[in-house]
Amino acid sequence: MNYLKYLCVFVCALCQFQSYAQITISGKIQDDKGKAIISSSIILKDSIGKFLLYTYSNETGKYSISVEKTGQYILSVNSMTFEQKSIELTIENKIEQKSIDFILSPKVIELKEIIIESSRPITIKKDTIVFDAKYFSQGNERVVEDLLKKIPGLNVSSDGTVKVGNQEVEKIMIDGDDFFEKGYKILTKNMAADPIEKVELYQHYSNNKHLKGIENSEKIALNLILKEDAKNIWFGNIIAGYGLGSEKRHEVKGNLMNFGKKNKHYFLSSINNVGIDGTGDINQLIRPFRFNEPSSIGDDQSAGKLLGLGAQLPNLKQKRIDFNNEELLSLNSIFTLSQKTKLKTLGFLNTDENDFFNNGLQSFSFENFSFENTENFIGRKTQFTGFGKLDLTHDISKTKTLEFTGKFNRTKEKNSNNLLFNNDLLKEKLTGNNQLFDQKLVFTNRFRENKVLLITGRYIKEKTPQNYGVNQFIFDDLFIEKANNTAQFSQGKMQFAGFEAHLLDKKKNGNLLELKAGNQLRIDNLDTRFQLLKENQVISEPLNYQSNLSYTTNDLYVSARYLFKLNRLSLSTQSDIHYLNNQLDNQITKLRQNPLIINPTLGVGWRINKDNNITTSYSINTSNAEITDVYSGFVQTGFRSFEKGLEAFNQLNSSSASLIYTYGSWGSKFFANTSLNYSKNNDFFSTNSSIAQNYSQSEKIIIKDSEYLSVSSSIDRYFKAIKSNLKATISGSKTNFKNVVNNSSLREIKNSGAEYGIELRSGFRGIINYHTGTKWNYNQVRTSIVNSFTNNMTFVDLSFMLNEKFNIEVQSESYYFGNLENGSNKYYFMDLEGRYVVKENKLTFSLSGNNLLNTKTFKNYSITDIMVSKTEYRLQPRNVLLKMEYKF
Amino acid sequence: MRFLFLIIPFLFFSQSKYQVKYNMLTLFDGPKNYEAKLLVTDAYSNFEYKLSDQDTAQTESQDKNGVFQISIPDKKSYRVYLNPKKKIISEIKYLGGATNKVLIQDSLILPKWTMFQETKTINNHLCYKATTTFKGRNYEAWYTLDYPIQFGPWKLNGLPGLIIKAQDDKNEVFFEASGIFSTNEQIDEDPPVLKTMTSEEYVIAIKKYLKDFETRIGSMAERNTKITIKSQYKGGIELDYK
Repeated sequence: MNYLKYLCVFVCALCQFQSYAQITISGKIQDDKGKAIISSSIILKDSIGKFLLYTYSNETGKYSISVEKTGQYILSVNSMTFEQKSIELTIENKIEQKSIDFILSPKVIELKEIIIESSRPITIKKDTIVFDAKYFSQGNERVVEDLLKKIPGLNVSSDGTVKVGNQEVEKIMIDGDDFFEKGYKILTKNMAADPIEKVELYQHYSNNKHLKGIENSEKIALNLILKEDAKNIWFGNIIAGYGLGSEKRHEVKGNLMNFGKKNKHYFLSSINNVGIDGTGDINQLIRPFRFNEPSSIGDDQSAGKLLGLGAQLPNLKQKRIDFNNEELLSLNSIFTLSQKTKLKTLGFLNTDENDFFNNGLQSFSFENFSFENTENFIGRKTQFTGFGKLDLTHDISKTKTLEFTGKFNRTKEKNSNNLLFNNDLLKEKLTGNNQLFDQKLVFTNRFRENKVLLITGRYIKEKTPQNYGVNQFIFDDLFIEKANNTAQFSQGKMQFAGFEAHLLDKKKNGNLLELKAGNQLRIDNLDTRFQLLKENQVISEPLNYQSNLSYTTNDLYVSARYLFKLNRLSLSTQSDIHYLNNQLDNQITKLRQNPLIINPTLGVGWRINKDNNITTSYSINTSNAEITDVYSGFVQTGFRSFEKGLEAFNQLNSSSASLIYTYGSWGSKFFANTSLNYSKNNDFFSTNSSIAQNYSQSEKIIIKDSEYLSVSSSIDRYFKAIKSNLKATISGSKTNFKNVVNNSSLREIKNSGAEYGIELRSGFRGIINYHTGTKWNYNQVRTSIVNSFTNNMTFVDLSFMLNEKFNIEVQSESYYFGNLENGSNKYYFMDLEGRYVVKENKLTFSLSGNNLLNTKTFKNYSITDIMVSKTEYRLQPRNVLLKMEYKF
Repeated sequence: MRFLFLIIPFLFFSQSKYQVKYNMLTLFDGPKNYEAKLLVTDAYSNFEYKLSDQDTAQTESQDKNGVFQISIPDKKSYRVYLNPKKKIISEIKYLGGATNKVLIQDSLILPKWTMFQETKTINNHLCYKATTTFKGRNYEAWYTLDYPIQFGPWKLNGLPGLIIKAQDDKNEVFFEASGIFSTNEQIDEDPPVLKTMTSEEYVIAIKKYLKDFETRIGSMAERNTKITIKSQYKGGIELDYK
C-alpha cells in the first residue's frame, strides 16, 4: 500500500511538472446568449496551417490546450451547429497563460448522404468482393492455395478445403469457367499463383447467373481472374501407388492443366486395380449435380436395361469387394470464342474390367413345396466407354443468355460368366451396346429485376441393345422343345422430346412464386426375341416370350409452386396438372388413353419456439406407368428368371404424409429429431409368380391397398466431462402388401424391420480421437410363416494426429449375422492409413494397409417372402499400398 | 406566432442529436456486412452494429459429397456506449446465445491518433488523414472538420471531426460513412444494467464457451465423416483487448 501511495505522489508530481513547463491556452465557448457550447472541437494550427493539437470543450463549455513552443498560431473552434471561428495569436513568453473565449453564432448545417467511391485492394459490390491480388501477395506464393491463404476472410485448411468463414466454397472458377466444382483442390494445389490478377468472392451464388437474388441461395463461390498477359503454362500432379506384396497392385493418376486467358485445358488420366472408380473425378463434368434446379427437364429420362449380371455386391467398402482394372483418359477444354460466347468441350475414354466371385445358396419354401439352389459364380465384365460433351454459351445481352448442351455416349459391355448351378456348369454371355445422344437448349431471360423466364427444349435418344446367351438348357419344365441352349436379343430404344417454360417471380416480401408449363413426349420401343437353340440352330421362338411394342406417353402439364412465410409459419404449396396421352401398340392391338391427373402437395413448417420445430407435408400423387410396367410377353432377366409387364395402361394412385419434429439445433447440447412417414398406395404393382427349381416367372399385376409406415428417431447428447457425444438412433418400418405365388390366392405379406444403435465419438483437441459404435438390424417377413434375423455391426476407429505432417488412422469393424451357422457368422476387418507430408504442396507419401486381418470371404444373409438366401463373396486379401504424390 | 418560431430553433440547437450511418465490413471471419449507425449527442454516443439481413439467414445444407454445412450467423445487435464525462466505454456482447447478454466495461482508453497533413476530398468534404494503433490493429482514418464530432464508428473516437472512412492495414476491418442525419432516436447516456465483465474476462469466457461448442459438434458426426471445425475465437475487431 505504501509503495502505491508513493508511486501516486510521484506520478502526480511528474504531471504537475510537465504541465507547468507548458504554455496553456484556455477559455470558454459560448453562444450569443451566453450558453455554454459543449463538444466543440478546438484546433491549434501553426502559422502555415499545419495541424498541431486539438481538444474539445467540456460540459461547461470550457477548454484548455497546451503548447511547448513560442510562436505564431491559429486557434479555431468548430461545432456542428455554430459557425466556425478562428483567431491568430502569438505566444512570446514561455510561461504564459492565455485566456481566449469564443462567442459563436448559430448556423444551419446541411446533412446529407455521403458517397464514397471505393478504389482499394478490396472492392465491395453487392454480393461480390473483389480482392486485388497484388496487394495481398508477398512474392513467396507458389500455388493458388498460397495466395488464397493471404486473402482476408478466406481460410484454407491443411487438406486444402477453402472456406469463407466456416462455409466451404461451392467452386473455384477461372475467368468464370469451371472444370472441377467441389473438386477444386486439383486446381488450387497445382496452379501457379502469379497469373492471377484478382480474386472475386461471390456471396449468394447461383449457377445460372440470371437467377441470382431470385433463387434462395447461400452458396459461396470464388472466381480467379487471370492477368491479361498471363502466359499459358502447363502444370499438374502425379499420384503413383504400388502394392507391397505378392499381388500386383497399382494406382496411377495424373492431372495436367493449362489455363490461359482465352483457352483452358484440363487433362486427366487414371489407371488402377485397387477398386477406385476413376470417373468419380469427372462425374460432376459428365452429369453436373443440379438438384432441384430449373431447366432440368429430361434429367430423369433413361432407357432401362433388362439384364445386369453379377452386379449385386455386399454393403462393404468398395476397396474390399471391387476387383477391377481400370484405365481412363479425359480431355477437357474451354474456348472463349468472343466476349459473349464460350465453348466447353469434354471427352473421355474409359476401359474397365471387373471380376466377380460369389457362392450363393437359396432355400425356397412355399406351403408344402420347397427346394434349394446353389449358385457358384465366377464372372468377368469388361466395359468400354467413350463420352463427348459440348457446351456452348452465348450472352445475347446483359439479361439474356442462350445455352446449348450436346452429349454423346457409347458404352460397350461384355460379360462372361461361369455359373455352377446345382450340378450344371452354365456359361452365360451378355453383350450390350448403349448409345446416348442428348441435346438441350436453354434460353434465360431476366426481364425484370425480380422475374426470370427460362425456356428449355431437350431431345434425348438412347438405345440399349443386349444379347444374352446361356450354353445350357434348363427349362425342360417350361418348354417341350429339346433344345440345348438359349438366347435372347433385345433392343430397347427411348426417345424423349421436352419443352418447358418456367417463370420464377420473387415477390417484394421475399416469397417465391414458380410457374411451369410444358410438354414432354416419350416414345419407347421394346423389341425382344427369346430363342431356344440346338447347337447353333434356332429350333423355336416361344410365342409368349417375344415382345415388340411401342409405348408413347405425352404429358402436357402446368405446375404452380408458392412458398410463403408468416412469422413462425412457412407454407409451401404446389399443384401439378397433367394431361396425359398414352398409346400402346404391340403390333396386334393399339390402345389409347387420355387421363387427367392432378397432384397437389402441401407443406407446413412451424417454428414453435427456439427449440421446437415441426415440419409436415401431405401429397396426393398419381403416377403414370413406365415401359417396364406395360410390356407384354415374358422377357428373360436372369439365367432362370422371366418377367412380364401388365400389357395395359394404368396410373397408380397414392397418398403420403410426413411429420418431422426437431428439438434443439446443432449448436445445442441436446439435439433430437423424430420423423414419421406414412404412405398408402391405393393401387400398386405386385407380382404373380410361378416358381420352380429351374425357373421363376413373374407377371405384374395391380393390387389394391398397400401401406408403408416408418418412424425414426435420433438423439445427440454431449457429455462435457468426457468431451464426447453420445448418439442413439432407433428406427422402424412396416410394409403390407399382397402377391400371388404358384397360383395361390392373394396372400398378404408383412415386412417389418428395426434398426437401433448407439455411438460415442470424442471431440478431443489433442493427438488422439476415437469413434466407436454398434448397430443392430432386425428384419422380419411374415406370410403364413415367419422368417426373421438379427445382424450386428460394431466399429472402433482411432485417429492419431501426431503433427501437421504426420497422421495415422486405424479403422476396425466386425459384422455378426444372427442366422448364419457358427464359424461363418462373424467377420472382422482392420485398415490402417498413414500419411506423411515431406513438403507441402509438393511431395507426400502415404501407406495404406487394407484388410490387415486378411479376411478372405464375407457371407450375407437375406430373406424374402418366398426364400432365404445366403451369399458368400470373395474379398480383396490383405494388401499394403505405398503411394507417392508429386506436384509439378 | 413569431414567438413560437423563435423557440423551436432554440430547442433544436440545444439538443442536437445526430445519426451517422456507416457501412461496416469485416473480413477476418469471412465477409460480413454490418448495418451500423453512430448516434451522437453533444456529450455521449452510442454505436450500434448488426449483420445485414441478407447475411443472417441460418442455413443447413448437404451436398453430393455428403458435406454437411450449417451456418449459424450472428443475428444479434451489438452496441457500444461511450460517455467521456464518466470516462467509461462499455459494449453489449453475448456469451453464446442471443439471450445471454453481458456488458463489457472498460475504463475509457481513446486511440492515440497521429495526425497527418495529407488531405483528400471525399464527396466534397475535405478529409484529413490520421492513424492509430488500437486494440491490436493499425488503422488509417479520414475525417472531416465539416462535421466536428469527436465520436467515431465503433471505438474509433477522439478525432476533431467525423470519420468518413477508416480501415485497418490488414484489410480486415472497414468503416465508411454513408450519411449523416438529425435523429429522434433514443441515445443512452448509460448502458443498461447487465452482468458486467472486463474485456479480459470476456475473452476468457468466450473461448471457454467456443471450446465446449467445438468438442460437442466434433463428437456428433457419423462414421467416416470427418468434422473439422474452426470456431476459434478470432478476437473480432479487437486483436488485443488491452
